[in-house]
Amino acid sequence: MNALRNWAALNRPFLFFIGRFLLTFFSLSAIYAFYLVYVEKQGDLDLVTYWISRGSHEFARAVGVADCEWSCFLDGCYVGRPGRMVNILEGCNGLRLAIVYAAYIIGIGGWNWRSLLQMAVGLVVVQIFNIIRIGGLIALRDFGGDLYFYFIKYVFGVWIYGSIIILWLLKPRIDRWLGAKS
Amino acid sequence: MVRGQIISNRQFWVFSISYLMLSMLLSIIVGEQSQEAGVRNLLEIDPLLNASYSGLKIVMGIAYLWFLRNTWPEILGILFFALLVRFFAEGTFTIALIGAMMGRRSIGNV
Repeated sequence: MNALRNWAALNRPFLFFIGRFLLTFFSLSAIYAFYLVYVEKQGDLDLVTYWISRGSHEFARAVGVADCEWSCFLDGCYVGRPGRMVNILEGCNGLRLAIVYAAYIIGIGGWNWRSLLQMAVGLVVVQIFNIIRIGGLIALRDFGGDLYFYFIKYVFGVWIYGSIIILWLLKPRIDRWLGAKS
Repeated sequence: MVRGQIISNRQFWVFSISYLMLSMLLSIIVGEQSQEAGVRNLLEIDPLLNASYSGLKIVMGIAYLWFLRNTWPEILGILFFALLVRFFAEGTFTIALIGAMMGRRSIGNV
C-alpha cells in the first residue's frame, strides 16, 4: 500500500493527465452517443458522416473524379462513380478517433482556453485528414489499378493515426504560439 | 534493462512507430484474410479468431510498454486505461496506449 502511495505521489501529474483524459473522453463520447440515439429516433443520418461524405465527394471531384456521385441513406453514404462507389458508414467518420485526440489535448493542457481552442480546431483538422484519406480512396478506386489496394491496405489506417500523433506532437509548439510559458 | 528508467527520445519513437506499424500490419492481415474469405470482417463471424486477435493486440501492447521500461504494475494500469478507452470506441486501443506514453513523457516523468 505504501509503495502504491509513493508511486502515486511521484506520478501525480501523470495521474491527473489520465483523469482529465478519461473525463474528456467519456464526456465527448456520451454527447456523441446521445446525439446518435437522437438522430436514429428522428430517422436521420448523423451530420458528421454526412459532412465527411460530402467533403470526400468534393475532394474526389477536385482531384479529377468526373461524374462523382454522392447519395446518403440511413445507414451511411455512397460516394464515387456508379459501379465504383465507396460506402462511408458512421464508424468511418473518424469522430471517435478525433475524440481520443481531443481527450489527450485536454489531458496534457487542462481546461484552459488554449487547450479548448486546440481541441476545437484539432477536431476539425482531424476530420480534414479523414476527408483527404476517404476522398483519396474514392479517387484511387475510380482511377483503377493496384494503387487503390495498396492505399486501402497500407496507407488508409496509418494516415489517420499518423495525423493524430503529429497533431499531439505539435501541441507544445502551438501552446508557445498561443503565448503559454514553457 | 532497468524498469522505470528514462529512455531517449529516439528509442521512444522507434518503439512507438514500430508498435503502431506492427499493430496496423495485424489489422491488414485480418483484412486480407477477410477479403479472401469473401466476408466483410472475419473477426465478426469467428469468435476464436476474434479472441486470438484481441489477445495478440494485448500482448503487443504489453511488449510495447515493457520495452519503454514501465514497471509491471504500470503496464497493467496503462493497459487497463487503453482497454477502457477501446471498450467505448472501437479502433482506439493502439492510439490510446501511444497517447498515454506520449502524455507521460510530455509531462516529464518517463
